[in-house]
Amino acid sequence: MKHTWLALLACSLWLGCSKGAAEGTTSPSTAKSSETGAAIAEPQATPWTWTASNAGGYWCAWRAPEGPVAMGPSFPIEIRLAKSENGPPLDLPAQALAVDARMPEHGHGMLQRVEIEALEPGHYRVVGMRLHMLGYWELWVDVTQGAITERAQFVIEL
Amino acid sequence: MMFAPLLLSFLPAFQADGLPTPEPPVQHLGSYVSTLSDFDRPTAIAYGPDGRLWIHDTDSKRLVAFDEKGELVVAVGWSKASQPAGISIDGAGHAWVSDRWNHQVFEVDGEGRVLSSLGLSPEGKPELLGPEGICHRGSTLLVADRGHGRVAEYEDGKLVRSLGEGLLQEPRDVCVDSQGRVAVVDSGLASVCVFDTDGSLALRFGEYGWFPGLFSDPTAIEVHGDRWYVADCENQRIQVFGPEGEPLYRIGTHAILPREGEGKLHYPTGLALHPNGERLAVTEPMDGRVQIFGMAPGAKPQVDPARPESVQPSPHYGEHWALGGGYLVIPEPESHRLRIFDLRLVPGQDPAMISEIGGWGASLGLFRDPRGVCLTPSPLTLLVADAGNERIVEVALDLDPEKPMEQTSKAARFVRAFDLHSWNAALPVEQRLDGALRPDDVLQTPSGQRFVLLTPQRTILQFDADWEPVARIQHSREVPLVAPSGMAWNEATQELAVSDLAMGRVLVFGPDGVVRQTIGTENVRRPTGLAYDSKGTLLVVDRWQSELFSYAPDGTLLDRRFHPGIDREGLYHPTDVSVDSMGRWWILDHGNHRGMIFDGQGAWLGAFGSTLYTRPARLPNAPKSGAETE
Repeated sequence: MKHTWLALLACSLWLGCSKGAAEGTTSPSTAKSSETGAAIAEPQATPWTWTASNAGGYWCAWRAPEGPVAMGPSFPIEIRLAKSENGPPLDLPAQALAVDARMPEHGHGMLQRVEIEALEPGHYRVVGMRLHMLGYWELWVDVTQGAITERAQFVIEL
Repeated sequence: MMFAPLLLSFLPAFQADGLPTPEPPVQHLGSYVSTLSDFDRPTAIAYGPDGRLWIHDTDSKRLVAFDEKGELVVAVGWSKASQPAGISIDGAGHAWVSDRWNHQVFEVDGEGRVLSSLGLSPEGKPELLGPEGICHRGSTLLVADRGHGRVAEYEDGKLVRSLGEGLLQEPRDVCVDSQGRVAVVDSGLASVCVFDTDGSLALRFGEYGWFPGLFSDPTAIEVHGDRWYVADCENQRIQVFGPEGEPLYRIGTHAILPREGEGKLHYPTGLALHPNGERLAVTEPMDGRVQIFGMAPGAKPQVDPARPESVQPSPHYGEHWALGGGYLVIPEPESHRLRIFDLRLVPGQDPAMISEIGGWGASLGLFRDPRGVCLTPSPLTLLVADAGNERIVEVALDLDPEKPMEQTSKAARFVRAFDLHSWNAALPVEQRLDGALRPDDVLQTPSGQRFVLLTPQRTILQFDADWEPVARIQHSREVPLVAPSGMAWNEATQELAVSDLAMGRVLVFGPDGVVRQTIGTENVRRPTGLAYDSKGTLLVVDRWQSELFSYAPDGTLLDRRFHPGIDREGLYHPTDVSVDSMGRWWILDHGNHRGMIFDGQGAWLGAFGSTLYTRPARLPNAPKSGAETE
C-alpha cells in the first residue's frame, strides 16, 4: 500500500511537470517555496498562459504573480510579449500596451483603470486589475505598433 | 426706525390706487407653438436681427425666410451650396451659409445672389473642412470648422484666428453670449466649451450620456441672457442650462409614432433663437419640418441630474448596414453598438438578433461613431468604419450558418484596428490628407482589397489585407467627386461603384482608378446605398426621392420602384441596399426605422425593426405587390 501511494505521488508530480512544459509554463514561486520549505506562505504565481494574438502578429502570455485571481480585491498581473511562438521578446514601451478586462455577457468592463510598467524587454507588470463580478471575463491585451492596434485575449472564469 | 427699510422690504408694493401691484406672470421658454412643414431636409436655420426666420432646405435647394407672422417673405432657388449646415444673418440682412461639402461659407442676398465667399486662402488653398454652424460677433464671423477641430474666426474675409485647437474634436455649432464669449458645442467631446474673449477656456460642461446635463450627438447651441439652449440630437431633446452649465430643464420629448410632432422631437439638429429670447425654432431634417416653441406659463421646471428622465433612448438603425455569409449587421447611432442578425428567415418572423457588440468608448471593442460596415464570409469577418475614433476595426465573428441558430454574447473577437490618423501623420507631408480622417464607409472585396471612404476629403483609400496602401481615388477637376457616400464592388468586372450625394450620380471606377461609367445623372438626385446583384445589375437607393433604381451593366435604367411613404411599397429616406445569395433585396428604410425585404422582382416579403413603423407594411389591407410570405 505504501509503495502504491508513493508511486501515485511520483506519477502526479511527473504529470504536473509535463503539463507545465507542454503549455510553456513555469512557476518560479513554487520552485522557491520548495527550496526554502513548505511553511513559507508566499504567493503562488499562476502559470504563464500563452496565446497568439488575434491576427497572429505576436504572441502574448499572462500570469497572476500573487496567486489565482478572485472576485473583489485588486490584483496585479504580468504580461509577456514575443515576436513569435517561442520567439524573442517583443520589446515595446509600456505606452504601446493597453490592458482591460470585459464581461461581454453584461456589456461592461472593470470599474477602474490599470497602470502598466515595463520590467524588462517584452515583460510588463499591470497594476490595478479588479474583477468585481463572478462570471465570464475576457482579458484584453492590445498592442499598438504604428497605425495598427492588435489584440490578444484570454478567458478568465470566476 | 432703523428697521423700517427691512420692514418695507416685506410689504407688498402698492399701486397709486392702493391695490397691490400684480406680480408679472412667471414664464419660461419651451411651449410648443407651431410647425413649419413640407421641407426636404431643412438643415440650416437662423433668426435675423429683424426677427425673420431663415431656413435652408437642403434637398430642394431653396433658401426661404418667414416674417414674424409666419408669412413667407423670401424663397429663392439656390443650388450653390450642396449641404448647408449653418446660417447667420448679418446687419445688412444678408444670409451667410456654410456648406459642408464645398468647404466654404457663402454670403447671399435676398435674391439668392452670392455676394462673397470664405474658406479659401489667398493662394486658393482650402481653409475649412466640413464647416457647420456659424455665428456673427460684430464684424467677425465664427465658423465651426468640424474637420479641423477648431472655430475659425474671419474678419473682412480673412482668417484671423483659430479657437480651441487641440481641445475640440468635432465642433458642430457656435454662438456668442452677451460678454462676447464664444460657446462651441462639440459632438466628439459630447460637451459645450465656452471660450473667453482672449481664447482661453472659461467653462466646459456635459459629457456622453442620457441623464440630464449629458449629451449624445449634440449639434446646435444658442444663448440668451444666462440661458444656454443645446440641441441634444440623439437624446431627442433640447436641453436648457444655467450660466455655469447646470441643467435646468428640457424642451420636447421623443417622438415615438411615425412623423409625430407638436412638441415631440425626432432627431433635432438645428436651433435658432429669436433676438428677444422668447421664441425657439428647431429643425428636424429627417422629418422635413421646423417646430417653433414659445413662452409657457409657470416657473422653469427643475431637473434632478442624478435621475434619468427616461431610460436609455430607444436605438434606431444607422445609415449603413452589411449583409454577408447569412448574417446582417446594423450599427445603432444612439447606443454606439452593432446588432448582429441571423438571416435564416422563418416566414412571418423578423430576422433574429443573435448578438450585440460595442458601446461608447475609445478602446478597441468600443465605438464612438460606427458608420459604415462590411461583412465578408469565409472566415466571417466584419469591418467597421468608426468615424469618432478615426479608425477601421476588424472583428472576427465566430458564427456558423450551418449550426443551430443561437443567441450569444461571445461571437465577436476584436482582431485589430487600423488608425487612420496615425497612418496619415506618418505619410510624407505632400501625401497627407487634410483634417480629421473620419471614415464614412468601408468595403472589402473577396480577394481582401479594402476601400475606405472619406466624405469630407472627397477621397477613397485602397489598402491590401495588411493595411498597406495600394491606391487612392480623389476628387479632381476632370472627375468631380464632391460627396462620396456609398460603395459597391462588382467582382465579375473588378469595378468599384461610388455614389455621389452632391452630384446626384454614380461613378464606376476600373481597377486602374479611371472612371468607366457615369450612371444615373438623369434620374437619381441623392444616391446613397449601392449594391450589385449576381447579374451585374446595379441597385441604387435615392434618399430624397425614396426610390430604388436599377441599372443594367451598360448603365441603362431598367426600373425605378417604390415611393415616399410607410406602407409596404413605401420608403422614407432609404440609405442602403444589399442583395443576398438568394437574390432578395434588403433595403435600409432609414427614415422609417426599419428594414424592408423584397424578392428580386420587387415583391414585398417582409419588414423588420421598430414595430410602430413596420406595422403599416404588415397590415392586411396594405398595397400588395406580389407574393408574400406572411
